[in-house]
Amino acid sequence: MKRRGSPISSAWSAWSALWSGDGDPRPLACFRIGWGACALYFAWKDRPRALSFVDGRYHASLFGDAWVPNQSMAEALLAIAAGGALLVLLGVWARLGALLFVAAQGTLFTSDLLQFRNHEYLLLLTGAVLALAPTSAALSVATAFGRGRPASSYPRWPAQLLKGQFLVVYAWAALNKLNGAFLDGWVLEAELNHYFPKSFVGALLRGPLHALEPAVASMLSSARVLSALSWAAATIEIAIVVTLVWPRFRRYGVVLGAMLHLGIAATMNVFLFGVLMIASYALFLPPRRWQAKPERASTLSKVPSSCTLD
Amino acid sequence: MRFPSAEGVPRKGAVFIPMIALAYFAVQLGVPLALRLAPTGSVATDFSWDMFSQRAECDTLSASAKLPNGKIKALRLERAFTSPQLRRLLYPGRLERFARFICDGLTATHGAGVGLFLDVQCRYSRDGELVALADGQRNWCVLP
Repeated sequence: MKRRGSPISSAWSAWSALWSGDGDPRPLACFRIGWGACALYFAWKDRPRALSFVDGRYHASLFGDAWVPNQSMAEALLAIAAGGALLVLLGVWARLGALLFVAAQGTLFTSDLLQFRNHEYLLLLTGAVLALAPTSAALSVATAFGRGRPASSYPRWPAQLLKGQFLVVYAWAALNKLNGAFLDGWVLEAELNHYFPKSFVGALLRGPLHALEPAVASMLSSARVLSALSWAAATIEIAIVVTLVWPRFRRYGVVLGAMLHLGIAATMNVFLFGVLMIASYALFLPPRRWQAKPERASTLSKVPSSCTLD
Repeated sequence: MRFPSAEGVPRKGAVFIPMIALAYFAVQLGVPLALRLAPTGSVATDFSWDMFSQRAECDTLSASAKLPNGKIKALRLERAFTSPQLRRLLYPGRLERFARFICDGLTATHGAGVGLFLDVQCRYSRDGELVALADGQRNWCVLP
């Protein structure tokens, strides 16, 4: 007679099954390239941050009165982070590269929470996963030159963990917007009026004297328009979570997400966060030819370095 | 429990991965939930994925130092911090630590008997009431 387990053991078995087995290394390698490019760009753009570590300035450290780097140390840490990001991008000692980035950038991040930025936090969390995962097994400089050890089977858990992380980000981004101050357009009013005039679309909609066209300016101050946009943003983020969870609808989630992030980049200049989120779509929806034909170990290094979702 | 790999060989560390993943997502779900349940403006919302969902509008934001000779010196917070940095500073716990830092600096420069007065009142919704984060009467350099 077959014995049935308790609901808890059944749930645990189902949870454990999510993290077991093997997967294709290429979607994760695709994400690694996207992450490396984002991290490198971030470390490069973040150079002026070292100035904020000049002696005598206040820093809200995550660890209370813990040690905080000085300016020259901050410059060194940013250089280490950039070097680590480059290693990840190329797939050469990628785990070491991710570890260097997380250690160096993480030191600056935790040293001053007044400079907290969500995309930096996400880079650090996902970088920590990359530091544990052998992501150089495909689409890397090492495999392109016949070095390294391409893997035919590959642990599935790093990709699963990353997918879960990105779903958590979308879900909390949506849930946090379900408050009166956001949904009535009050929050968006401040954000759009600050970012939109400086954005790509804002630049196109400027009239003479560099002021926004009157029709556009009135839209940005219309409570109805701003409220509608706020509801739309929260709804789209919820829809992205729902569609990315179900494999059957993932392509719609990817399209929605790409549109959302491109829209935010064009109207609010928030660029890097969107690129990182879009890079994660390779994990949710790998190119169809990869799904159809699992490659053999010896041919993985010959996979073209295309990350398109064909 | 050990998971077989494609070759049927159990993967190293497979026993712990579901446990670590469970702990990881418990933190990722629990921390933002705790921050969301806290009264608005009482705790910093870092680590909650609150992208573009919060706004604080402070009608009153002033800081002044009282020197031992009785002179009052205005401190320009908006010059010392960018707008996003200032918004992340305006939480009771962070203001407390910031005040301690400023008082230590004032004492080191001017000696004992310095004072720090902060007056910060913010609202968190269009028609919300002003919340006094610092009432302007308290001398932050004197321990309560």
